[in-house]
Amino acid sequence: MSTFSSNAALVDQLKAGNRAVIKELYRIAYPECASFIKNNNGTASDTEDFFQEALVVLYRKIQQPTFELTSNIKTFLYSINRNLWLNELRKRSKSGLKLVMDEQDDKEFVLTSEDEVAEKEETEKQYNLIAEMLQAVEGNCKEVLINFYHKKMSLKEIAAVMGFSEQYAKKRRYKCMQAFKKQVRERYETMRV
Amino acid sequence: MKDNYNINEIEAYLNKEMSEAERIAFEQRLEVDGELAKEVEFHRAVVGGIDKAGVLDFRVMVGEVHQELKGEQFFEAKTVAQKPETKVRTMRFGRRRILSIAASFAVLLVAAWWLFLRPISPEQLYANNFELPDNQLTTQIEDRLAATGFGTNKSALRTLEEAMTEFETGNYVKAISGFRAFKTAAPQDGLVAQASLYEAVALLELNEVTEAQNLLLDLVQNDASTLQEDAQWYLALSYLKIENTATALEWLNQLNDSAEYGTEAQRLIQKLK
Repeated sequence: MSTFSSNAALVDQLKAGNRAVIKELYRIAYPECASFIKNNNGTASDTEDFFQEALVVLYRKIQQPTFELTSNIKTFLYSINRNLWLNELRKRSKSGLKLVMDEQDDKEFVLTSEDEVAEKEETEKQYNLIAEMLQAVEGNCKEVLINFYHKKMSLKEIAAVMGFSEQYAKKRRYKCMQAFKKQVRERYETMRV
Repeated sequence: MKDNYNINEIEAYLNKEMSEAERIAFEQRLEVDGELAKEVEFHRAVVGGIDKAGVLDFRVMVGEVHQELKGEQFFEAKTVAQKPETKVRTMRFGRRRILSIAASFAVLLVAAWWLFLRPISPEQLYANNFELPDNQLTTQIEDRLAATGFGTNKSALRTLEEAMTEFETGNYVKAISGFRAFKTAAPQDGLVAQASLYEAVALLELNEVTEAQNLLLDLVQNDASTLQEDAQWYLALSYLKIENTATALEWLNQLNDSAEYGTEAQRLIQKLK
């Protein structure tokens, strides 16, 4: 039985980056996802790699402000995994591989071109560089910035999670962002030289 | 790029949190202030990078959980079997039900034949067609126990009821012993024939084929009820089990015109030819 009371609870906890939810999703969705890939020319290693990728896509999806889960999270994750694998098969070969289709409703989850096409290489490189720089940020600034800009937590939530007053969270967010931008700016300037 | 622009203002613009008037004013500034425009793009990139860092953190966490699960042998055989061959199902005595299930099963078997173009062994046919009978007895026993009619051997009926529970949970040894105890205690009871049929099925499950066949033969020869065809069907299956195709065919041929078993018998005959 699930340790999470509902799909909504699972989504909320996943958004917050709760490790136990990831395990739970493996438990409830991995077997079927793996079967689909295996039945469609995938290897054991493909099943593991693509499930990890599907979890990341799910995680990114639920961070979107407009995201609304209209089906069971297991079904949704299965759809993501399935679409990722079908895209991979299309990429890998046009050899007319026969797909063992299931009864999954295609309307359930369709990868949009936005999902399929990775951000432009240049932007991606820029994001990776900034992300890498954030890993090196000391103190609690990294956590504050991730909570605010990535997890989209309110200042009140950040204050609660990090043990600050709301006022301090507000100041900290501003200062941390200002300091981090300064670092990135300096790095950019060094790169230009 | 200058760093003296107001972060809150830029974010309000990027997050579309400005009023219409504020937005228009800000966009007018963007048109004339190239540095501000650059700063907005820079801010957008930094936020994108922070977001990316969050995703990377999550990816790392997924990788760690994956390794943990690997250590727990989670991935070994963690796939859902594709349309497993059902071996144990309940049915029988419900005539419409048996026909529909058997017919679809037979269709599946025929499809498999054409797909793989290879013969199916009698043993496989047995496995594919053998089904446990529905429990039709317990309700009858309960009705009888509830009634206080003269001559009802309640103790024997309870024994039979317990035997059925054992049968249903797959404890065939205990079930067989219960069926026998019931038959000894109430040899004239109207449920004896049914008890024998369940006993024979339990014996088949335990690979006691000869004993099962003896019971089934008795039912075919002596029982005047509708159980005769059931007994013939299980006899045919029992011969498939021991790969005696000729005798299995003889019994199946006897069911050729049976309303209940005719279709499945004919399908099996086609397969065995």
